[in-house]
Amino acid sequence: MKAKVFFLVSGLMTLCLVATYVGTSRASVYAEAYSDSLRTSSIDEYLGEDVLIPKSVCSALGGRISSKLEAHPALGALAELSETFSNTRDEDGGLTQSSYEWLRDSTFAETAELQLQDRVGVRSAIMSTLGLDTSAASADMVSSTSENNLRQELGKLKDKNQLPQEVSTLSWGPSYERKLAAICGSSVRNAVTESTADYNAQLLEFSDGVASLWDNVWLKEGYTVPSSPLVSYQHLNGNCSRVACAKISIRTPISCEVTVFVMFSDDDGDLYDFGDKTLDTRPNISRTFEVPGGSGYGTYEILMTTCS
Amino acid sequence: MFIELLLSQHPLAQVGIAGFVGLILGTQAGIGANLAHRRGLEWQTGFILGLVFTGFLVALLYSTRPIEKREPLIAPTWLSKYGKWPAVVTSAIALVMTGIMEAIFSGPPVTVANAPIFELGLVTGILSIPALIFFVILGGAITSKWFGAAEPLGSTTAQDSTVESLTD
Repeated sequence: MKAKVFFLVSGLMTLCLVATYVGTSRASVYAEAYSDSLRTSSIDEYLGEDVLIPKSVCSALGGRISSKLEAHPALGALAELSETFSNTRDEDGGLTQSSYEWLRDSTFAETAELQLQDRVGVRSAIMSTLGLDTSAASADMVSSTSENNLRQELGKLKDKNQLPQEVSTLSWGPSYERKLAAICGSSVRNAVTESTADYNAQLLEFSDGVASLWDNVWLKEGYTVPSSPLVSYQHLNGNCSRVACAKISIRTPISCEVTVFVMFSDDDGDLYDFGDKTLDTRPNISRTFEVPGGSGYGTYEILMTTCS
Repeated sequence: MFIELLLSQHPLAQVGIAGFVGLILGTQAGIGANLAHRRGLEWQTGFILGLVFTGFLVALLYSTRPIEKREPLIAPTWLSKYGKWPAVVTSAIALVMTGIMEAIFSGPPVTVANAPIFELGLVTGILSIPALIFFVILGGAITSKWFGAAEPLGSTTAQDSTVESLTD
């Protein structure tokens, strides 16, 4: 009986030890899997399911974007410029000497660094000066809405005791913001389009008018021309004695002595100073000259032009 | 840290540790109770004293007394009533919990929200307390058979003399 008792107790103890060993081993596997579940890149991954973003969030976001864009000072500034510029036109809407004089005398052309450019260039310069960046404005609103919504979702998880302190939520923000931007994309686009429709129409009209001044009024009517020449360059795609080179084109509205300083940076980022080139130009006729290059296909930078 | 501590308490580990400790406690207390019982002490009193002061101390104290009982020990009925089946049921519950945990972790990726690990850890954590008690009683129940009816009394003489020689 003693032996039976001895072996029975020993056997049970061994069984308990084996169970303890197996349990501890499996527990470490579980703990590792659980630790992984604490380090997630999004709230969806953390919960194992998609957190729904209701359409009401998108409509509210669109409303906030509209409010922000409509309150932007660029709209008022453009309306004022456009109105002043319209007042200089004749009854038929044509450009007049007053239009030119207004542009010449206003600080706007200088502030916007307007040069002899096409419509797109003028429009771009005006937009840049007014500072209405619809993409940045909508991105800001999406970001703040995302942050706010995510904070609410985190609050819900905390209320349900589903957010232990060990959980890292640092990388949840960007992923949630991407998700919100994707879901509310059409609402955001609609809000931007609707709230800037008038602005864009005014901008189109105004920039076309200003561009017309460059192309028509100054050249045909013989008004005093600005001092900024139009300088552009064109790569010759390696047809230039195995080294990169470019053709620099210069076009000015009046006869002018133009000095162009040319720098070239190659693929490795090395900078080459090709010095300056002076040309005499005739009104609205392109003058070209070729410049040498470094090895590979680099980019040219026109550092400075002067017209005296 | 608390979560990891809780997680490390796997049902098998929790009940295994409780069972191992319970068996040691119950066995040593039971052996002490056996020896003291032969020298006139009520068995279950010896068992309780063995749990509180260790069976070795109880055996040592009672070894100075002469042997009064040489007939086979009749164990108290509550030993097998509260020792055997409760321990078996507790172990079965631990196995079921283990199965649930295995099923959870072999399924879709574990997330904090979908894994009822806290509940399992808590249930088995609480379960380990009665498991400890049941295995203590089980240890006592088994060792109470030390001087069972099937054991010739003469075979205990050697141990008696050993214990007696310790007190000389």
